[in-house]
Amino acid sequence: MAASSIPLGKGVKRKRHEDDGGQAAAEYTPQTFHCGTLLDISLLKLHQNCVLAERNLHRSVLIANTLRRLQAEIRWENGRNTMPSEMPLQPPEQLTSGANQLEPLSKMGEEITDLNNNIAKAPPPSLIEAPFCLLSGNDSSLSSAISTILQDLDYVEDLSTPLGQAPPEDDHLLPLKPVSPDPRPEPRSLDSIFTAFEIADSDDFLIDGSLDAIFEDIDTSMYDVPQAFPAGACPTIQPNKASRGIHSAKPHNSRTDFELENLMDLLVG
Amino acid sequence: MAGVGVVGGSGGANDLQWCFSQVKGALDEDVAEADIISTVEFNYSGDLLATGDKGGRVVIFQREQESKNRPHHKGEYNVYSTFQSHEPEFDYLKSLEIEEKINKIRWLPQQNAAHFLLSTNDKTIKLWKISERDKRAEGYNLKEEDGRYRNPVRITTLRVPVLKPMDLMVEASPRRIFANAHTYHINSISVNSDNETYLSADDLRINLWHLEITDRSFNIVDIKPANMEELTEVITAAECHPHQCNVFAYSSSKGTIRLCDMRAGALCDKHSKFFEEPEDPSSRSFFSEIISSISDVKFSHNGRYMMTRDYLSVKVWDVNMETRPLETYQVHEYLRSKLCSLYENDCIFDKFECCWNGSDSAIMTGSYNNFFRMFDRNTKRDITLEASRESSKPRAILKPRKVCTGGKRRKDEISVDSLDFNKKILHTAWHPKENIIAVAATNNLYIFQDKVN
Repeated sequence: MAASSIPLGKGVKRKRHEDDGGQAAAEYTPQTFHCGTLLDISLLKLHQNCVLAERNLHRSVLIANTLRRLQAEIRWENGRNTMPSEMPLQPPEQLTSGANQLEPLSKMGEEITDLNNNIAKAPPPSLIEAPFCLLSGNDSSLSSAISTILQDLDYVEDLSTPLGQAPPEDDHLLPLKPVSPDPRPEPRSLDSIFTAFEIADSDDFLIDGSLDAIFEDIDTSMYDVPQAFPAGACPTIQPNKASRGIHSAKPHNSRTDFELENLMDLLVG
Repeated sequence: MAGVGVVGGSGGANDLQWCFSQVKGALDEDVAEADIISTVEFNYSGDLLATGDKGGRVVIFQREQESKNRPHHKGEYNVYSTFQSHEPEFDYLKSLEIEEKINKIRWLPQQNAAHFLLSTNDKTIKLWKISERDKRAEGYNLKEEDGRYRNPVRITTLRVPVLKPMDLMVEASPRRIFANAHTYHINSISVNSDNETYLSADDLRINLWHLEITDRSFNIVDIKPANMEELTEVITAAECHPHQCNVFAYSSSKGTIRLCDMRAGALCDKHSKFFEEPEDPSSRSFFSEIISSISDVKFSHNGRYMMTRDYLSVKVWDVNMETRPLETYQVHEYLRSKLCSLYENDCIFDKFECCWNGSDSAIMTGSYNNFFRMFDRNTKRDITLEASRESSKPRAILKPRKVCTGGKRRKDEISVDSLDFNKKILHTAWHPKENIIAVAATNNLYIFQDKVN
């Protein structure tokens, strides 16, 4: 695949040019350059998608998945080049060139989400088991950049039952995913692309000490509750942490003010 | 229609040829965004043809009765009703614009003199009643003929208003508004064969509605993970089975289709059947997943088959065979080497639709450069035609087009690099009984019909 973009015609005749016949997959430098170009394009698209008034989840998921593949490819290339004597690496993906036919990653490995509880597939080794994963500064900053850009792609849903929704039947609550401990060495990777941006999670920033200083002179006595809490901390953070990830009814009587305040900050800030 | 080839070809006494019938829409080179057609749908009899556009308008065409004066000229489609279905909205809480673009129109089977259709934008579905009025009451007691109210003191006699004929007026009125049930963008609606319920699907959820009840819906599929960071797949299309009111299918962005049975449980997260074709390792690329994303799924009229459209091909599946499709048709394989550029200019995300003919013997889908493709399932022949103003003379026979992929380009062929990727045919429809097709080319609607040799 040619690295340079081919401007697509608008009905103007042009001379036919010979194709390269695809680049050799074994060549390292052009492939990395190609990955880099695709990375730039993909990140730009993701950013544009978030900026656009119309946010397209389908498009973002496809671009994010492409980014995951690119990142895995880059990681594999990094690992291959810096540790040639290590155990043979499983290349996550290879650009098609027609020349090499590598052992394909099993289809199983591509499914990360346990969709509908029917497809129990192992996460791809390149992303989860990372003994060979050498994260350069670029890689981790890429992950956090993607995470930041995509963080607010999730729509903040009404916590109360919307008008158009029937209450789910008891024996068919929304499938729950247990909050598993993060096995990955890096604190924040490409997998946290669609971090839930529920109102509950946004309470976290209240713990930040630097923000406490800003609100020191504000009278928070109206938020005081019988239990003793550190100044600035949300009194109901602990019960909320336990219930994070569960979509059914949350206690929001005591948190309504915080919700509104946080929401206003998000809208304005 | 059985036994007659529906795809024109050279030679063959039974071969069909397609000819131009009509074109609707402005001729200007500058196309207003709002005029871009976003959905096309025939009703169950084929007498009505509805289009929706980006400006939120619905235009319905009605087929004229065949006149005895011109027996060889099939009835033309003329404007029957035009109305504004959806208006742009702004969600202040999420700071998001809600487009008025009509994503889908689906007709309800006709049960009385009026016609009903469902139209949807990203968030709200509306049920419209289209009815004719050809009589009006005259001789009101309390109102003058011009509508002004009379002074009640001056009324000394009473009379019964009389119905008098008037010029035909077609009225469209919203009968139901189904709102606030979708957090994500609605991509599909489908009327159930029970004529009482319908489903609506967005990126992560599918809801089941009763046509009479607007304040609640049942959520039957929910693939939203608890942690959004685990999201790698979205719902792209959904459709009810044409005969079994308990069965529906939905497709995903990973190229899979799930068939679900609503009798199994209230929440259909467990599928009854799972359709997926194993990936060909030799053609894998960074864009494999994007091009495998299914943009449309349609059951055949007989309910035995499903058709799916991904970026480069159309596949026909037997609903009883999950392992691989029955048939695969390449729409524009010559684009496979251009995927990088198509990704850069976003064309790779274009969502093409597909449709069956009435007898399920042929399928049709669109492509670029205003080309559209038809495949005959029996003869395995295919044809590429173009919706263009140049070939828009009445009853002009459409010439097959060909894209040159390499080597010497013949005189009538067009090379891949000369294709106009701004002229895309995403929406097509086939008359349920006859060989009449409607093809939406940006802001123009082309109607073609067959001319049997």
